[in-house]
Amino acid sequence: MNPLFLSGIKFWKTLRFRLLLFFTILSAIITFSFTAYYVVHQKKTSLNRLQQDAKLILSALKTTVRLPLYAEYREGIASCIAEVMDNNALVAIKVYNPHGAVLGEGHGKSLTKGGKTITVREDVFIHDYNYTPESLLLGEDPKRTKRIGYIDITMDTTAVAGQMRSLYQAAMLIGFIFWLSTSIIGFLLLRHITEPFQKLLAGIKEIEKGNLEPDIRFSPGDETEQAVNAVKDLAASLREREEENRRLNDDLIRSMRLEVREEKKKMMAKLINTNRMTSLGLLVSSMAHEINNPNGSIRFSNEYVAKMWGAALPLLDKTQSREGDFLLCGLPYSEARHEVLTACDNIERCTARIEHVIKDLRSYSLGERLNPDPSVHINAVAESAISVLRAHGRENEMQILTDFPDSIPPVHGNAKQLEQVLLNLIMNATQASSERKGTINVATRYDATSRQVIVEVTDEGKGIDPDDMPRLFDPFFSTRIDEGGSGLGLYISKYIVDEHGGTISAESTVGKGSTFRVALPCSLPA
Amino acid sequence: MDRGRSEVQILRYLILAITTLLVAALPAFAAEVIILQGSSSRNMEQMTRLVQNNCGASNRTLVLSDYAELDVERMVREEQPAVVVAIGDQALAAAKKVRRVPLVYGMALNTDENTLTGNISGVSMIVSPRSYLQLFAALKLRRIGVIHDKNRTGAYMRRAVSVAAAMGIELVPLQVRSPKEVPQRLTELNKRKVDALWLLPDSTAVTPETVDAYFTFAHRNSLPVIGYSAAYLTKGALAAVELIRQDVGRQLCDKVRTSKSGVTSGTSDAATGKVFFNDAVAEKLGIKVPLMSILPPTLSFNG
Repeated sequence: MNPLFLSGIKFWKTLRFRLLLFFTILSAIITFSFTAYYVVHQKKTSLNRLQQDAKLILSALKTTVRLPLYAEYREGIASCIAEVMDNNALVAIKVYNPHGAVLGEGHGKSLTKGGKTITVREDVFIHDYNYTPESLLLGEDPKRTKRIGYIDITMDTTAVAGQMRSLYQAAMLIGFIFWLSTSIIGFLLLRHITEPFQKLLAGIKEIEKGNLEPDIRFSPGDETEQAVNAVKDLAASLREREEENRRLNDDLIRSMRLEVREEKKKMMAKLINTNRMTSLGLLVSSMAHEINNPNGSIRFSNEYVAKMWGAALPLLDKTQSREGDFLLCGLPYSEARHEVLTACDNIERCTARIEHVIKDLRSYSLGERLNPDPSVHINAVAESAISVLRAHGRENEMQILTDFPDSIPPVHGNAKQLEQVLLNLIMNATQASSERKGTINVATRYDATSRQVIVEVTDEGKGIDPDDMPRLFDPFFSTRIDEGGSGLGLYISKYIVDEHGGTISAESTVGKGSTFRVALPCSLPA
Repeated sequence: MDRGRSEVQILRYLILAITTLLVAALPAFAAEVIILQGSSSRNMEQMTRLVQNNCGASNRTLVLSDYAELDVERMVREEQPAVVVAIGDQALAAAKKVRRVPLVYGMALNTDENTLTGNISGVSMIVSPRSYLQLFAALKLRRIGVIHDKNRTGAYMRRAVSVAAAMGIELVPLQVRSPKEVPQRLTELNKRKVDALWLLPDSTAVTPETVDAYFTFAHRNSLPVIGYSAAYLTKGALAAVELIRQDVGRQLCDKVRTSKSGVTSGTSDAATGKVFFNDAVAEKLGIKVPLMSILPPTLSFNG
C-alpha cells in the first residue's frame, strides 16, 4: 500500500496531517513570538540596566562634583571622575560648565570598531529639590536654582549587543527544541486522539463494503463511543432494511409469478375458449351440413307422403261411405284421417324449425354479413332473438317479459347482427340470474328527443361488481371464464352497436340486477 | 368664539406657569460643589478627578493658576454652592475667606490647623500617627526623634504624642522655625539617644538643604529613617509610609457629603497608607522587616 495514500486519500489531505500541520504552525508561531518578545524584552532590559548604571554613576558623581564644579576646580573634578571610572562599560565621562566648556573628562574602555554607545546627561544644580514634600506629595515641579553645569556619561553597548547575540542564538536553539518537542508530542497526542476516529472510519468503510456487523473498537465514555454506537445502530437498521427488502422482493417476485401464472391461465382459457369457439363454429358448420341433409330428406318425404295421403283421401272416404268406418294402423279411419294430416303438419313444422335453427346456428358461427337493411324493426329483432333462445332451451325456468310498443320507428342496420347483440344481452341476463330463475324484461321505446330507438334488457340477477363495470366491454373479459365464458360477447355486441352508430351501456346494482341499454339512431328522415 | 378665546387664555397662563417654574428652578441647575484646584500639577489633577467622580453631586472645577485673580468669595456668593472643595495650599488660602459655606480641603501641606475656622474640614497629607506608631512598634523602635515646625505640623504632633504615650513609645519632637535650625536639632537628637528618625512632610523641616543632612546624620549614627515617600529609600531610609491617594479622595468625598448635610468634622489624617521597606538597609541596621500580618490593618505592604 502506498504510504502516501491512507484509507484511499492522499496523506496531506488526511485530517491527521492537517491537524498536525495546523498545530505545528501554531506552535511555531507561538514559539517564535515568545522567543522574539523575550529577546526584545531582554535587550530593552539590558539597555535600561546600562542606563540605570549610568544614572547611578551620575547620581554619585553629582554629589561629589557639585562643589568643584561650582568652583570650576578642574583637579577636583578630575579626582571625582577618577573615583567613578571603574565601570567596565564606561567609555567616557565629561563634565561641562553651563556654557558647554569641558571642565573635566575621563575615558574608560576604548570603543570597539563599529560599537555603539549611549550617552546620559544630567544637569547639576546647587540644590536638589527632588526630595521635598512639595515635590513628593503634591507633584509640583522641583524648583530649579542655578544650574552650575552638566555631566555626560557615555556607556558602551557592545557588551549588550554581544549578550543579545548569545541570547538570540540560545533563544532560537531553545525555541527550536521546544517547537520540535512540542510538535512530536503533539503528533503523538493527535495520533492517540484521532485513533478512535480512524477506527470509526475503518468501520464505516466495512459497512460500505457490505459488512453490516463491523467490529469497531472505541474508548468507552467519550464521544467516540456515541459515534460508534450510532454507526452500529445505522448498520443494524441497514441490515434490517436489507432483509426486509429481500423479503419484499421475494414476495413481489412470488406474487408476480402467481399473477403471471393466473394471467397465463386466463389467457390460455381464453385461447382455448376461442379455439373452442372456432372449433365449435367448424363443428356447427359440419353439424349443420350433417343435419340439413337428413332434415331435407325428411321434409321432402313428408311432402310426398302428404301429397299421397291427399290423393288417397277420396278413395278412403269412398270406402268408408261404402263399407263404414274401418281400422287403419289400429285407429278408426275417422280418427286416423285427422291424425295423419296432423302428423304431416308436425313433421313439416319440426323440419322447418330444424332448418331454421341450423340456419341460425350457421349464420351465427360464420358471422354472415347480410346486406344492411334501412328498415329494420327492432321489435321483430328482439322477438327473433327471444325465439332463438327459447328454441335452444336456454331460458330454463326464466320468465322473459317483453314490452314492444308498435310505434317504434325502424333503424338502419343488419337485423341478424342486431339479433346477435340482443341474444348476447338476453343470454347474459339469464346467466346472471341466480339458479337460472327469475324474470328478464326486454323493452323497446323511442326517444323522440335524441331520435333513437332504445332496447333495454333488465335482469334480477346478482348484479355486476363496480370494479368490473369499467371493463365490461373489454375483449376477453368475463366473470364466467370457469363456466366457459369467452369474454367476447359484450365486446362483439359493442362493436356491432358502434358500427350501427349507436351506443351500448350498462347499469347495475349488486344484489338487485342489471340493465343493459342499446340506443340506435332511427332511420326515418328528420 | 368665546370658547376659543378662553382656550387661548388658558394656554397663555399655562406657558407663563411653566416659564416661572423653569426660572425658579434655574438655581438648581448651578453646581452643588465648587472645586478649587490650586495648580495644574499631576497629583492635584488626579485628586480633583477623584472628587469630581465620587462626590455624588453636580460640581464645577476652577484651576486658580488659570486666573490672574479670582474673587472666590463673590463667586461663592453668586453660585451658592452647598460645599466648596479646596485642593492645595493656594486654593485653601483663597477659599478661607468663605465663612458661610462649608469648606473641605485636601492636599494642603502648609496648613496650621489652629487657624482653621468652624466651617472648614479636610484631610491632611500625612497618614494617621497611630499607623506610624504601630509600625514603630512592629520594628521595635521605642524612642523616635522628629524635627518639625509647630505652625505646620504642630497639631499632628500633638495627636502623635498622645497616641505614643498609650503605646509605650516615646516621641522626641524638636521644633524649628527655619531650615537653618535643623543641623542644631540633629545634634540635640544625637544627645537624646533616639532609636530612629521620623521624617514628616513639614516644609520647614524638610528642605532641599536639610534632606541630605538628615541622611548623613542617620548614616553616621546608624539610625533608621522612616519617611513619608518611597523616594527616601534610595537615600537610605529604612521604611516609608506613603498615603494612598484614592483613599484620600474617598475621605474627601465623605467629608463633602457630611458637610452638605451640615456636619463639619474638622481635619482628619489619611486613614490608610502603603508601607515600603529597604531590605538592604534593614540588614545593615540589623532590623527585621515585620511580616505583613504584624503590620497594622491601615497599612498595606508593598515589599
